[in-house]
Order: sequence, then structure tokens, then C-alpha cells
Amino acid sequence: MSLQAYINKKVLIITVDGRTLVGTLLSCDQVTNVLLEHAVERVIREHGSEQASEEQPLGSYLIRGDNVVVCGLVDEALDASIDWTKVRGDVIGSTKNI
Amino acid sequence: MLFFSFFKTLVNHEVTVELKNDISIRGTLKSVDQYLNIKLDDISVVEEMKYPHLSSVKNVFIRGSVVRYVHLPAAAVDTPLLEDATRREASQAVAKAKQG
Repeated sequence: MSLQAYINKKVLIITVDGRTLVGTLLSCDQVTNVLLEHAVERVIREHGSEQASEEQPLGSYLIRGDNVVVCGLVDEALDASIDWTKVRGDVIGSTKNI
Repeated sequence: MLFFSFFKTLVNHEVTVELKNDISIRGTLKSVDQYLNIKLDDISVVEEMKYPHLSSVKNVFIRGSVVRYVHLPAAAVDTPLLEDATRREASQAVAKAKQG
């Protein structure tokens, strides 16, 4: 399947509840279940927030396919050049209608 | 099946995919599969200031189930061909229903 191309590479996943997870893609399947190694949650604070954006280490994470919105291939050089603690942005909404 | 084939004709065209969480991602359509999962290359998020999360990502896989709209380049859509294909599929469905 098409996620096979990202295996053993650093990926960024946005979940249905709007969280951003970054890690190494170890495995994936037909229905987009994904296994991340060295996963971290990237918490990006809102514009005007005093708190610094941060990364929360999570370990290995198995994400069920129906929770995946986007799986992006991270450009590691570009990613390292960004100081993520200073990045501000809106909270990503859910893809569910609650 | 029709839309799977249709999207395959749009490969290498620039499209904008609007997700159900209101993020819009523009990029070159690289591949599409049976679930209408979409792969885009050279992406940019339309409201980058609002959603900086993907700023170190150039290449994405988008799960088909979270897509709200795909904005297409009008010039790349062959409307008569699409109409024909739709009618063909509809008449096939009718023929199948009569058989069964």
C-alpha cells in the first residue's frame, strides 16, 4: 500500500482529535493502522499564548487507522531548522461532527 | 470505481484537498487508491499561519475518509467523458439488477 513508501522514515501524523504525533514509521497496513517508534506529541500553542510549544515523548504508539487524518513525510533537515517551541498556531479541529 | 478511475486521470495535476477538520492542503496529486486515499507531493497548507503543523512536510498521505472536498483544475476535467462513464456505469447497474 501507499504508506509502505514511508517505512523507517520520520513521519508526522495528525489524528482525528487534532493531535500531532511525530515518530518513525515502523509498520502500516491496508486500513492505515500505523506503528510509530520514538513517538512524540507536538503540542503547538495558540497565537498569543505565554506557554512555549513543546514535545511530549510517548514511546511506541500504535494508532488505529480510523484515527489517522494525515500522514506526512517529514523533511528532517527542514524540521531540524524550525524551532518548534516558538511556533504558534490554531488548534486543529476534529474531523467528526460532534 | 468510477471516481477511482477519474482521480487516476488527474495524477500530476495540482489539486486542493479540503479536510473535514477545515484544513486545506494544496499539492500535486501523486497517487490515489481504492479507498480514495490521496498522496500529494510538494504540499502547502492554504492557511499556513493558522496551521503550521505541516510546515516541515512536503509529501503527504491523506486518508480518504477525512476528505471533504477535492478542488480540481477545471481544465483537467473532461466533462463529456465523465458523463459518458457515469451513464455507462448506471446502465450496467440496471442490467445487473434485471439479471439478478
